[in-house]
Amino acid sequence: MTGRAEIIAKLEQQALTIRRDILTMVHAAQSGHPGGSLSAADIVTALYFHFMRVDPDDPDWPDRDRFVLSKGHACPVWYSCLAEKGFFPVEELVTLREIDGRLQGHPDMKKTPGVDVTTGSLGQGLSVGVGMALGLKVDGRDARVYVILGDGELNEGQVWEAAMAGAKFGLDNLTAIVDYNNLQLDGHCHEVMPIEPLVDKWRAFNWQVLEIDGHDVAAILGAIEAAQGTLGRPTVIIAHTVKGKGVSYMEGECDWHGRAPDDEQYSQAMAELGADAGELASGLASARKGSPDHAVQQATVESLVPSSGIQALTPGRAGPAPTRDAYGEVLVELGEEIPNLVVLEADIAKSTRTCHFAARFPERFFQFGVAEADMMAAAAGLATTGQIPFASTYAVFGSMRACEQARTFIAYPELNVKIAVSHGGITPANDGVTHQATEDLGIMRTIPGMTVVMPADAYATKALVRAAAAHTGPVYLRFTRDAVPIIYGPDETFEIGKGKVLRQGDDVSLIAIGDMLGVALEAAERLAASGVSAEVIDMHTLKPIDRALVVQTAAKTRRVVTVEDHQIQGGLGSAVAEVLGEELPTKMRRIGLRNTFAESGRYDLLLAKYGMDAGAVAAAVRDLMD
Amino acid sequence: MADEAVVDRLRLKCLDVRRDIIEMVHAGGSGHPGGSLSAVEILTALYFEVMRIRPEEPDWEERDRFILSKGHAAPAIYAVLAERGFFPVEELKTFTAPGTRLQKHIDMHLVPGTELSTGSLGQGLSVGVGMALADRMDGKDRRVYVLIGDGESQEGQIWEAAMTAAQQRLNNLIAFLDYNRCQVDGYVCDICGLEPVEDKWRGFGWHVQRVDGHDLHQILAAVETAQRSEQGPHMIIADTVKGKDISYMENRPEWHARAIAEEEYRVAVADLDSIGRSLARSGGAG
Repeated sequence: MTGRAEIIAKLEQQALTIRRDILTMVHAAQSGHPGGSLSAADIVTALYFHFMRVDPDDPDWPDRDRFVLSKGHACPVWYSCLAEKGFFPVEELVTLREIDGRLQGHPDMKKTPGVDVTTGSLGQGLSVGVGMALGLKVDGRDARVYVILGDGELNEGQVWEAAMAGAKFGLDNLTAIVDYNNLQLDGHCHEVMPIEPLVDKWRAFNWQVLEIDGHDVAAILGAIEAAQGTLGRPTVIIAHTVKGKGVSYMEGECDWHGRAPDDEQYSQAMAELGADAGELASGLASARKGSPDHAVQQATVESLVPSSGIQALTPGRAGPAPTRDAYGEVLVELGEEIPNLVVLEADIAKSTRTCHFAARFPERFFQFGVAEADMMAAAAGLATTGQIPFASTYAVFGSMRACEQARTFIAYPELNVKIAVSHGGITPANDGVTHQATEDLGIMRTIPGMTVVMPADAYATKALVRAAAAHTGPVYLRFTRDAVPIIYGPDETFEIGKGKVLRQGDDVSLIAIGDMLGVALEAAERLAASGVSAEVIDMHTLKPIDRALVVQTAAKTRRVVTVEDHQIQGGLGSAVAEVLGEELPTKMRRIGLRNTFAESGRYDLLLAKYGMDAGAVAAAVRDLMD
Repeated sequence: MADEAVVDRLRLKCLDVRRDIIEMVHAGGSGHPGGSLSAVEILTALYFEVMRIRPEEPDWEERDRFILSKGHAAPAIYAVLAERGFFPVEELKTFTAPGTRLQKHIDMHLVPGTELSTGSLGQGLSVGVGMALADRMDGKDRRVYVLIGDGESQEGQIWEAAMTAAQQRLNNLIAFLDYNRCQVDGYVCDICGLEPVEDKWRGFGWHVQRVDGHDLHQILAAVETAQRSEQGPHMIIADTVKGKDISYMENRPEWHARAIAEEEYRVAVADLDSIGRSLARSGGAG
């Protein structure tokens, strides 16, 4: 047993190193998810430094064991293990979430050596693991597949689809490990969406079930060995863990799901994890401070704290605010005014800002957990009884994961459901591609009867959410995660389907939507300085688009540039081109993502890199005028 | 135990409903006979004995709700609604014809008495959860009944809804599983088995009962137990036979969706006539 004890002691030391790396990365980036990374640290360390057959010099070695981090937001723990194992330099860890970097906010298999599959959208990793395990069996390879699941993502039905498939195919080369830290984004699992009796659930799905303390290295080794020795069926290891494990002030604290420590907190954590002075100093020096990220992150953390009341909007036209903040605020006002307004949420209430409504009207707030499809169809059910449901999640999940529910159960029966989503476009900049929604406007616009709206600022948001509540029928409302400038005043009025001319011009029309209205206005300023007169239009309602206004402005300027935080296909550019193609063929340019996904990075830097900033708009105008 | 006279009456009604289903799919030239026939006793018990509904006032505020999550069994619900008086039985002949209200999958805006447009599998239970939440919020003692299929239980959304209903302790939600063991590509156990199905639903926090889905006594008793119980949400797993009572359709997955040819139609009518004669002999017609 001496050998065994040594192995365990070595792994425990390694896990400490991994934990320090996690803190250093998240501190450096001033963004990321420390809590769920720390809870999985002992498990991932045991896998990479004891069990898994991988070759850092040949990351694509076909016989390697596979690792799937289904709870992709915990990627700091994975990056750290990969770096310490030699897949890439440890020094690179501090580039987490940096533009042009290889370490995205959620794992990206095209960028990071050793990452076997891209994740970040919860509930899907086990299905991918099933496919890998099948593929390895087909090829006759004895490699194994390990999938780390979060507890919150067990709310997703797809996990149970995969569980059924894994058992059906008898995948004894597949091991799932549930990082059961009992905390998800909106609170304790048993409050958000109870998953107990968890052992019974997995047994009923015909898996071998083992239950362990996920921080007891000996127990981890024993369970994985047992899984390896089991034939004919997959194994799930339910590992009881502590979120934030190893850092006193993070342990068991929900707030540390997605939040970065400041310098003082970082220093304390590193001391607790046994860092020496040199490591601490270099960690402190690597922080990307003074960046807008830093400010945004801090602001987010503050507004994450469910307030006793609602914070007033920034008075006057002062500075930028995420439009999701205004959504959270107006939702409470509407709750006071409309007794049959109900809110549905999928475990990101603090982030979509429905938490304020939840605090004020608990009896009209329904928490569905990480289960967007179910939430969307339940919203349909509530609507059939005369309620006015607002279903909130992130744009990428609301428009794509629950797309068919929105199409078949909301739009087809013309039910009065408002799909109100945050994190539109690339505004969840640091989070990376999995959390950025750049196809959603096109998807929603294609659905018959769906009204599609994206307000440009906080005041527009308040007014247009009100208009949506008063409108009978389905509406897709899209908000920003990151801050955008305040453009309007509190008394500005808005009407669904009626665009607004913010600036008159003769040479070119800039038609913008949402967070890009500010960009278009800035471009118009620049163009004015060089003698070009640009008309600027806020086309807040993408569908039904204001055809008359599009034609009128095109007739006046004879040149149109659309500006949207979306792929250039399917969204505003397409909608305007359709109108002009039918009514008044006009030369156009379209600003937006051009057949590419973006990446993690600061919002303003991403806009510049992907040709979506004011400079790019001005250049498109000049190109059009040549 | 339900009154024998009630059950006799329901048995006869089931026979009418089966005749209607065969007529519709035959006349329409397409449709889903197998899974319609397996659900007949459940639907007939609900609409002719259990549910508080008003055929003359389909939108009556206090009505119980029914959702046919397996929307392809539309012929069964159309037949039951027509027999119950929501619209003329003669209209059944228009099934899938141009301009008809009776679409191949249910359109709630066209058919009186239907609560939800269905046809995309795996989603009806979530909608039922929403309805049950609303009823509770409004302080109504209405109940929501949902019928799901076995094949669609492979959809994760069913398990999302199962989790939510348990979280919300929706005692006013009663679901049936029409467990006929056949799906489009074959037998459920070969495609992706559900067993141990009772453990699954218990593991997801539901009150579970199991019945013979063609035994009206058992169906009525299970519904009554669910209505009296405070341990909801309630799942009644009904073991059924796909294509029930049509000799050449029973337990045959290929009868999931298929038109009925002339010769097949004559055999089906004869099968049902023979059941009718035996019901008459046993006094069921009395």
